[in-house]
Amino acid sequence: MSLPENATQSLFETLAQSLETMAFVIADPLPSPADAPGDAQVVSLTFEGPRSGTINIVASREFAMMLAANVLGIDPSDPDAQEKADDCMKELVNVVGGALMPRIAESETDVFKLSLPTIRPLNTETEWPGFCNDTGTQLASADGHTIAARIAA
Amino acid sequence: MGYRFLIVDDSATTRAVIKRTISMCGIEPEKLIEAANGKDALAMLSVTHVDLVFLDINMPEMTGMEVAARIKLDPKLCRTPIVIVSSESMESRVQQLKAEGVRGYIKKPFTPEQIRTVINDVLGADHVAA
Repeated sequence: MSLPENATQSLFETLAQSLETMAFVIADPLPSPADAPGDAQVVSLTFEGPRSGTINIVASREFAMMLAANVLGIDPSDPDAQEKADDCMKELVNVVGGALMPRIAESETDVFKLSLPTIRPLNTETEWPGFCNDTGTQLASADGHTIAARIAA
Repeated sequence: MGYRFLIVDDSATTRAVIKRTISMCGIEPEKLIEAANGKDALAMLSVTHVDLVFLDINMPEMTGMEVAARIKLDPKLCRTPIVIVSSESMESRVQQLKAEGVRGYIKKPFTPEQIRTVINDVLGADHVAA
């Protein structure tokens, strides 16, 4: 079954709510195209059920460290923020995925299986333009950092 | 009386946040242990009594559902309260877990108040600061 028409908007709203609740970070929509985040990483989660697909979030390593610092209540320069940055991005996509499923479900009895999140560096020269221009992508500015979220069947 | 907690989550960040939140609730645990997967959690529970288990669902090797089922099947562990802390929020899943005997369900991202409330519900309010 294909994704609902409002899936991208729902993804953005879920991401913004998650960032605010987890880390007191405010995310505002950003028009496309935008410059790629520096030192970009993509964190991904797949879901299977009545609807299946993938959620990707692209952000800089600097954003990941800021997020970890906010979540843990420490300074971004703290070694713990650097150490847990990747883990925190994985947790972000996990939280977003979990919160998004009821919004794209057909009924309350739907059951989705979420994968374990993965993270890898993004090649901004070859991957960013396609990612940025995808109709399933929403760009955002989160405390001055460019982030991008995409949902695809 | 100090309480003993076990936090089971593959995310080190989430484990740290739950620990900090418990502390923010004014609780000084007698013991607070962590496991990054279900297998380690069951090994810890076999040698250490805990008063409450905070358990994630989506973990590698063994899911939280499997861990909860194993705990419920073990005569020595079956009375140990389990509170699920998960990003999964489908109502059908929540109802399934409650039917299987979990004592609480906290959806990620959570607030300190939600942790405080569930500890109150499961262990009583005597040791939780307002």
